[in-house]
Amino acid sequence: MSEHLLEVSDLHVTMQRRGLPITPVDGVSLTLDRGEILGIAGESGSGKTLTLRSILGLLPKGGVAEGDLRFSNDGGRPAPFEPTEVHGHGISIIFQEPMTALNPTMRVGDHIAEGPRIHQGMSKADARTRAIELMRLVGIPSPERRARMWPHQLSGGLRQRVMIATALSTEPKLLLCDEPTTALDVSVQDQILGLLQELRGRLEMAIIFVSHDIAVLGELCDRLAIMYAGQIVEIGPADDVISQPNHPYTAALMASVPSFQGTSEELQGIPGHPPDPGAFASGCRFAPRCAFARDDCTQTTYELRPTSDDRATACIHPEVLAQP
Amino acid sequence: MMLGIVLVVFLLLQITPGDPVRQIVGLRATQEQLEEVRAEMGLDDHVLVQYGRYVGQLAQGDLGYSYKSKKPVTSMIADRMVVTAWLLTAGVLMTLLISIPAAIAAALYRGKAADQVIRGAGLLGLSMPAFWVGVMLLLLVALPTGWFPPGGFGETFGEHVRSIFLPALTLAIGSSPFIIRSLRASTISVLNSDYVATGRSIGGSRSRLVRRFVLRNAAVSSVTVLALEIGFLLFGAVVIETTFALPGLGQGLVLAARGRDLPAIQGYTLLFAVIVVAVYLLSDIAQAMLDPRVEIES
Repeated sequence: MSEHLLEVSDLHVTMQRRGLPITPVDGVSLTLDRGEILGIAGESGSGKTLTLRSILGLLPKGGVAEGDLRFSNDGGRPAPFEPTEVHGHGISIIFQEPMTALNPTMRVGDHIAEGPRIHQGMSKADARTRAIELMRLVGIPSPERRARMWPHQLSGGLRQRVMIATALSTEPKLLLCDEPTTALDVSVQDQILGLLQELRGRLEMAIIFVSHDIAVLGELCDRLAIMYAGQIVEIGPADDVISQPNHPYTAALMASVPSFQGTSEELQGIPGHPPDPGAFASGCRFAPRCAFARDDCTQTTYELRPTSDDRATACIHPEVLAQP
Repeated sequence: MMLGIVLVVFLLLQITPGDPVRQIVGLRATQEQLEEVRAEMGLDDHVLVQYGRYVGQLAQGDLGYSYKSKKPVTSMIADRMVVTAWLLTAGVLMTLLISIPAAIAAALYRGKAADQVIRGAGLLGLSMPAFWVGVMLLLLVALPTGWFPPGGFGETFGEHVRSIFLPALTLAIGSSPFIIRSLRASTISVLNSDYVATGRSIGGSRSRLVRRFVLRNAAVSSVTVLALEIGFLLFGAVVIETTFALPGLGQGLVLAARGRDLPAIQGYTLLFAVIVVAVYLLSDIAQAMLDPRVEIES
């Protein structure tokens, strides 16, 4: 395997809450290969979105990211970077709510043309032509007419396509997706997922896709990381992680979503509440809610342990999940 | 709505004490002379008759004749309006020139030194009364440098500009703090928005980000504040025109009120009301132009 596209090691995000520091992302490490789609799943507040935003330095006010982030735009060895160095140069992002992520006072054509005008020094007219090409690429019908429209005049699905076209306008090697389908209805969701998959193939672009929707992630991703309480608790090929969880949290998460096969077993909720980032449990952070917790679970320190060539788990007793 | 304003102005002046006829004929005139003038002017008619007559004339664009100068009120107002239009336009321009950069800087450097300085200066500007600022500018700038005339409006365009500079600056010092406050707050909320995150992720310089993604969105909510502020500026003009001896509407109103020149007072008050309504209408139009989501229905 050649060099990685992105390497994140020991990423911490600290924020201030009522004057006290909290650490909603606490030691996330992951790597991504060229053209690969990595999913990050987790509950609200698990730190998945903050992890994603840290890569581009787009944390909310007061958020500070620390850790070793390396990226390689040209295929060489990944090198450390400042977020501003990759804005428009290799990494783009799309957000959950396309209505709020598009500038309401900019026509969508101008919005998409902004990147080419800044980074490729295109004239207004050339950039407009490029914007219309991009709109066609992401499947927006009659792009010439729609380029002159305002964001509020488009449907949710089209808005997200405009957002994707904007992200693609700078020809990124990595597209960060922050729950881009959550705000859309299901049929539009499928179209957007199909589009992302198609674009990955055509543009050889890697994707990190953050979502709480396991079904979406299973359909789209090559690999899947499960986050809990600011840490990755399990990572591996998406199909394996979903069908054979190696962490009790993953297993509980799978039991809480409707099955793909449509069998009618009862859905299981996870007892207790997602932990507060100001008061994480010591040891394994899932232990207080874990049905298999043992005494030594509260003593352990966090570490992702490989269980096979391509899988790792933070659980120290993954054998409890072995099928009887 | 305008009819309501006319009625209120008319009634207010009817119930205020003081006899305009006495002001006209002078203190030494006899009771007979006084009654004669009163009848001549139709002031002995019933109040409602007088009101009907006033509205009737108004509908034909006639504001009556000044008791003092005997000139038509419309022509008095027209002369003075030019001066006040200069003052307000210059005042608004200076307000914007001060407020927009200051608000953007304060929002971008929120909580840092620049923000503190701008907010402190705003508080200072807010707490200084306009007439005092005006006098200070006259004493500390106009008199030592001789660049600006201490009063009057001048004859030529160049003289107008020089005469209007300090009064407009006085207005701007009083009104900028409001605009800065509002624009700073809306800029901060725009800077925290998702679309500015999108703008950042596209790359490019910060000034381009501010121009393309921030300014217009932040301006939308501050336009209303600016319109309200222009309403206040108009009344600020009353004080400032007196301080700088500018022959504008505000000064005219003060003179008319002192002389109990009822038609003139009514004329000025009515015009002020019309200007305020027009400014609010303009602000709605400006808002619709700035924000494509707002549509004006006729």
